[in-house]
Amino acid sequence: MVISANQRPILSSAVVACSAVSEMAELFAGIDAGSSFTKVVLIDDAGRMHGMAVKRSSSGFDEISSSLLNGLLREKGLSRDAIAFSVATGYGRAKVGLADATKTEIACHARGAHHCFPQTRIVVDIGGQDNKVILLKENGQVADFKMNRKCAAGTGSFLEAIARRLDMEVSELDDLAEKATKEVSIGSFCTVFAETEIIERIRAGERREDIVKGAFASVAMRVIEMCNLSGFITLTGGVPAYNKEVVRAFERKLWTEVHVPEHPQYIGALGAALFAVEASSKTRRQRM
Amino acid sequence: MGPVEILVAMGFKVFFPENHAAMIGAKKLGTKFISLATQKGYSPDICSYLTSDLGSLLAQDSPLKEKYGLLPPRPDVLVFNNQQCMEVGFWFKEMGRQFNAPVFGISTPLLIEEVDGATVRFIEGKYEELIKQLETMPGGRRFDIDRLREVVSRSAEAVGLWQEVLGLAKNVPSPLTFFDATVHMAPIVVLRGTEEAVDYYRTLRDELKLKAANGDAAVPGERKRVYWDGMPIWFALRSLSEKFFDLKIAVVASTYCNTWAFEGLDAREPLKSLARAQTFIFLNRGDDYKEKTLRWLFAEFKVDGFVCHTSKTCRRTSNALFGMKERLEKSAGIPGLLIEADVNDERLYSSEQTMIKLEAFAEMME
Repeated sequence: MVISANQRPILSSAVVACSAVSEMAELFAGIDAGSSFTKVVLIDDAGRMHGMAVKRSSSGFDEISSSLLNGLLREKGLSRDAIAFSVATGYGRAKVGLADATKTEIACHARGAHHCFPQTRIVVDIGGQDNKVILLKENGQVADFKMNRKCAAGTGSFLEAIARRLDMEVSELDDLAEKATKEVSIGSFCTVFAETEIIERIRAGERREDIVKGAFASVAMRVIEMCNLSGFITLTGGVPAYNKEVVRAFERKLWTEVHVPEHPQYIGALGAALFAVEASSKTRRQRM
Repeated sequence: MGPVEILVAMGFKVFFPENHAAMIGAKKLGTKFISLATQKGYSPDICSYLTSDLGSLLAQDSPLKEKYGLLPPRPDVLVFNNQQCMEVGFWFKEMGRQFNAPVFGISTPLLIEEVDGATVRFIEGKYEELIKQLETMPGGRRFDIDRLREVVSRSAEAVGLWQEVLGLAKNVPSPLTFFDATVHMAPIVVLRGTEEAVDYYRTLRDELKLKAANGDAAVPGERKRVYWDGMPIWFALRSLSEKFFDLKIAVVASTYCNTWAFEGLDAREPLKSLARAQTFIFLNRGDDYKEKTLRWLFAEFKVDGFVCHTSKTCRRTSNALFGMKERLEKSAGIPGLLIEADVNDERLYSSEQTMIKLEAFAEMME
């Protein structure tokens, strides 16, 4: 597994990360209003990260994205005037009032991943409620994409259901999987059927550690079944961000290294911010 | 889908359960009626036209009731042709049981690559059997070949006009889209063989020709053009047409609407030409023929991409199920998009996911 820093300096790995901004520098905001979490990223026109923040998407997307952005700006002693352009993506993108434009998360994950790893040709985004496989051209543009079928298989929701069945917090699953000595196969597509399978496995005496390792493998398999994954593969999204076992599962099943950016949960927002830089530059050229 | 001309020529008034089912879907009543059919033992995984229409029959309810105070008529006879799918046979047999009416079916060879003389002769033989069966019905109807010639002549004229209408979408910008065509196709299906269908399409053709000459676009600012493969998503026609409109994408061609643009109807050889035309349809052909035809259509209509609707309960029309999307992307060199939905069952459709896919597809085509 390769976890690579962006090739730009990031001064902190805290949830809200800030760096000093010169008075003249313009900032660009990317907002990924996901179904589970809203992420905000600030970058400058060279694509350098100047802050990122995340919060559960529990109330209005507009309110949460504003609150996150204002928090980041306050840390720097800046106001909204410092933001030259902002782009929103994700499930709630149309509801983000502060955004100047929107882009699909497919385009944004592709853009963000390509920024981190220019050699990547496949991006796999595993989020709370959906997963996507995005195939890129050499220049980072989207060549094709696939999304999961109408169910939770291969997403964070599947892991949440498994955690509930095992009477655990989803945040505990990854540590538990590390203690596994084998992988108990969970074959069902359907989350409800998978929960039934788990009950059967527990009755059969299988260890919870091994079952959880199987659950992570199941997430990987549902994605692998969607598309032929080969070459330089990048994983993004909240699930790989918080669960190293899912990354290991992909590598086991694919017999190849899989690449994860330093902040995989923010890649969509980063892509949106990069689109903001482009859009702002285009608007200026049109005015000239 | 055919051969309605034989029925019309023998004096039958013809009602089309498939179109009734499409109406149920368009009125968003599918979920209500499908559940009644599934209670009777029909799987929710089978043709949702069948389960919608059957459910409507069991409920003694219909969109026709709301608008016209009518229910579908009680049939004296049921006739199906399986050149479009197998389910239609089960569907009509159930209706036969419900109405205690005879059911006559035509079995057409499937997955045909080239339509040859032997196949046409075989189907012609099936039509001759059908005619004999219909002549045994009470009422003493007799088949008259001259009458059939008249009906086929009118069908041929209406079909020719319908072909012209669809062909006007080759104009850039196009004066009509697939969504318009799904509405305007009604007469070519349910009034084929009548003067009304001829009049309708003559008027429509003339109006669209004028629009095309003036450069009137169905999608103002048309930026991209796509082809739609598979069935309409009846309950989402409005939302999808609006989405394509907003994205400035004109859906200019489909094999669904083209299906009724029968080739070669000829009043001089009415039975033979009917047999040939209705075996020739895209739906009944093998993959090689389909892919060759689609590549030709893409070029003719100058499309920038294509959308494949995989209908959960209609495998026969879902070409992407069998790898065609990937093969076409390679051979035609244009991007394709997969939409997973259904003809009538709203429970099998994610509007949000579909809209995201369409936006991303539009971004890809830029």
